[in-house]
Amino acid sequence: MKKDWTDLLREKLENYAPDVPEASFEEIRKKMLAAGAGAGVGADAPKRASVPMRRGLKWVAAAASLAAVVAGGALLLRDRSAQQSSGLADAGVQEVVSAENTADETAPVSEETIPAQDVIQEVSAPSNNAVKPTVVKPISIVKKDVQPLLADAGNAAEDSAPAEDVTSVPDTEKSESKSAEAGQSETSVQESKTAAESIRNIGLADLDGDPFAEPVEPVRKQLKRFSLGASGILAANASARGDKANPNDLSVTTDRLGNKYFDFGAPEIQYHYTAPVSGGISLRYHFTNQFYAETGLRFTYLRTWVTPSGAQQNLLFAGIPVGLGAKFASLGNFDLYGSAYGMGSKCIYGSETSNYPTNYTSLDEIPLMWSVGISPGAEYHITPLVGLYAEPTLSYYFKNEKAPNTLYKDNPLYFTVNIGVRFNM
Amino acid sequence: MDGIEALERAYKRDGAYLLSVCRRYVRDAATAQDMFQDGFVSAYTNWSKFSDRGPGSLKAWLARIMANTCLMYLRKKDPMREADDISQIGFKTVSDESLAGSIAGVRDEDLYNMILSLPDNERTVLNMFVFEGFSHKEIASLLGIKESASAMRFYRAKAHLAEMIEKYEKR
Repeated sequence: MKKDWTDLLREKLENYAPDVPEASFEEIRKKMLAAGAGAGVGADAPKRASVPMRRGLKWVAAAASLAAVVAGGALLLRDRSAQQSSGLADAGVQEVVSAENTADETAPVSEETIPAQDVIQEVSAPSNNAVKPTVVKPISIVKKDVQPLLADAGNAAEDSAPAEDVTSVPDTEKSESKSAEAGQSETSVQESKTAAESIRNIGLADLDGDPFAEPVEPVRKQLKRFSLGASGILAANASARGDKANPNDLSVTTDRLGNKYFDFGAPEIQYHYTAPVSGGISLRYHFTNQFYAETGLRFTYLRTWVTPSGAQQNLLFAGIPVGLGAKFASLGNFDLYGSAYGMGSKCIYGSETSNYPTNYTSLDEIPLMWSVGISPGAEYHITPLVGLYAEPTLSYYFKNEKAPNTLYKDNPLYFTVNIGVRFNM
Repeated sequence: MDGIEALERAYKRDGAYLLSVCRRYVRDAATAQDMFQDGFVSAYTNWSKFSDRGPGSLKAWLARIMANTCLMYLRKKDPMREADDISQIGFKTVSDESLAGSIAGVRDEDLYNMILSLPDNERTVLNMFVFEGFSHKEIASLLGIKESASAMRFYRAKAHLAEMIEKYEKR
């Protein structure tokens, strides 16, 4: 882009200063003190400009709302996940209770009818050693459907052997039954196994799992100890402008002779800021599946320009964030998490036009920029190793009067959305 | 930090720059030195009006005071109220692009001297427009002249500058 000739002229000559002051400051000091004594002025402390809070509060409200929505969503999803794993079991227990109550109150259990819980116990007894407690929940689900199935099982048992031969033995045959007790027990177990086979083959196809199958360890995602992320930041606002002065507020004083001149107390310059451009890498270490520590390297480019001169200053900061976080919930390929961090940033590059009103002569004079932040986040796993994430982040930059005028100095509470790709190793 | 201490630091750090502001408005070097000292005295007597807005604000405030001190001096000389001939006859039309290209090839020192050689009224408007960033409306208000007169002086300054650069290039 071609520069206007006035811009070029200003850039070339703004700081061109071939002459040096002839008077020493001691001479000027004497004049100052003489003039100050006459005018009755002292060395008052300069007034400090205050940063308006209204804009900050607006961002606080926006960020708090977003954080509340994300946190609420995370809790809701977590509750739903928990219900999916335990809610069915509770429903099954209720069914069993109601079935037992119904059986007790309305229909006396006939001798031919085997109580459902007994069957379950008998059926599951042989495999008790192998079945882990986690399998108990699906079993209770089976109980609600077990009555009609048991009827089938009972019919099957009747076909092979009359029920009274098994459960209602005449007194005359009691002695024989005692002698054949062991064999009957075996027969009963075999019949129960037959019923169990029926249950397995007929009634469980539509259930989540086979309660009689070998126990399976719950599916767990393998813990990835390290995550390496590369991110960029979308600034919440495309540009911000300092409210330190209004350029239209040029204060002109007219003396009694009608001469106009600047009011020395008039606002001098107005700072404007473009949206920060930020990017970097982050490294996570997962202590557990839920908790992790995070650090990294983040570069932030800040541009400030002033009116009325149009002078510009460009600063590049390198920051090291250190933080802790926790995963709230996992839903499908999504992970929801939140973290808090602190960061120190050092200016590693700076440039300014010759007419920029700065006092810095080297980068070392620019103090470290300290900030803290919180960020809920969501990561979508494209593959187990690669994920895309977005982290709405609310940051607070600690004020430092010696710091250059940047967006973060004028707006210490700032909202951004950090997006990037993460590699889980 | 009290006023004198802050001003002393500004003197050491930005003295040359502040003097150059005076020189751009006042051609005579000795007079510019006086304006420079008067500007510091004015800064001290008006120190309570200074509002510290962070790094650079003192420098900008002092530069404004220097410019103001010079303008008051020039007003006393009263070159600003001279009759303006709003006719553009006799001035070559100069395109912004060609002037920008020409300025880029001129040494800073020579360009500085060219600006110093402009008539006071043209140089003042040029300084206020280019270096202080004022609009013609603001300049007119500050100098007590018409807005069109400010624009005309700026136009003349530009034409004079282009003429000097053309001669400079032919050397």
